Amino acid sequence: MIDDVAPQAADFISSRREAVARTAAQELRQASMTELPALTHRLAGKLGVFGYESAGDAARRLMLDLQDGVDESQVPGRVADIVALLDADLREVS
Amino acid sequence: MNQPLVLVVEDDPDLRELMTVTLTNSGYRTLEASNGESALEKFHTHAPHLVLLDISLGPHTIDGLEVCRRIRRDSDVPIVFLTTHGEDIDQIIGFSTGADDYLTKPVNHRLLLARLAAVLRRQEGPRRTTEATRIGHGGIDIDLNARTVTLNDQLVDLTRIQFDLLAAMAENPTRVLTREQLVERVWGEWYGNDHHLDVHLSRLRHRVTAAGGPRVAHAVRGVGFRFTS
Repeated sequence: MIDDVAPQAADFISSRREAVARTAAQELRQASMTELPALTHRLAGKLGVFGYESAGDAARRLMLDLQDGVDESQVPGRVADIVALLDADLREVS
Repeated sequence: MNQPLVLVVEDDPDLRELMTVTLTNSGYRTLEASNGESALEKFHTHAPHLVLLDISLGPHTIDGLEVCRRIRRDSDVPIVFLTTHGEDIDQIIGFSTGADDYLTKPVNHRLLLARLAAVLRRQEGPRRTTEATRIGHGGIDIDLNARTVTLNDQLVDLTRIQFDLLAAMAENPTRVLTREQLVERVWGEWYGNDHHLDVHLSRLRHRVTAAGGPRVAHAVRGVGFRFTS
């Protein structure tokens, strides 16, 4: 996705990329069950743009499952998976 | 239209700024709004040429659908919705919200620029290959200049895209138009997928049949669509 943008937009993405992942991971760790639908909705449309396609796709799948009434016991693990994907990408960046 | 003014309505500051950077570097002027109320205020103050409108603007403001409805009360400005994959596109496009098009996030910047250019081109007027200004078939009367459709003397409320699709087929009632021909006629350049055309055709059929009319777009398997009255 990053390769597919204009140079100025690519610069913007590069400058914000790390902060986007750190903020998203923090928001996911702190989100309550009632906050997760809106948060996953936002992250599903955002993370891929900043180069976190796997985490964005995982957020989208969790968003859809939350809409369909997922077993709540599975949610913390799913959230942790998204955070782990972001952490892994961050390690690659640094 | 020199340097069209685009109102970018997006609650996420990173995405909002990214879209602004992308648009600015492609020759657009931009305004930004982070919530529904601010969007309406800036719309009425600055009269932008196009509104790029996120459907979901967070829990503490009116959502994009309501913003669209309020704008539509007194303006025909092109509105392009930003949706997230998984939202009900049929519902978003239809049910009188009056949006002209939609983009699914995460948004590809080339797609964004292509869609905005196509919507603005449509706003400036459709390309005509015929000198006819009215088309009538089986109770359906299409006024190409006024861009109105009446069915048995009752006005049928269509979006800009729905009108262009209907006009394209009705101008060639004996021909099967391929998907590519319909897309070229209505959108010009195309960077979307088949589902996009299907959604608009589905909503067009729904609008016309709900008004007591025919299905208007008959699918010819493997070829395209033909006008039916």
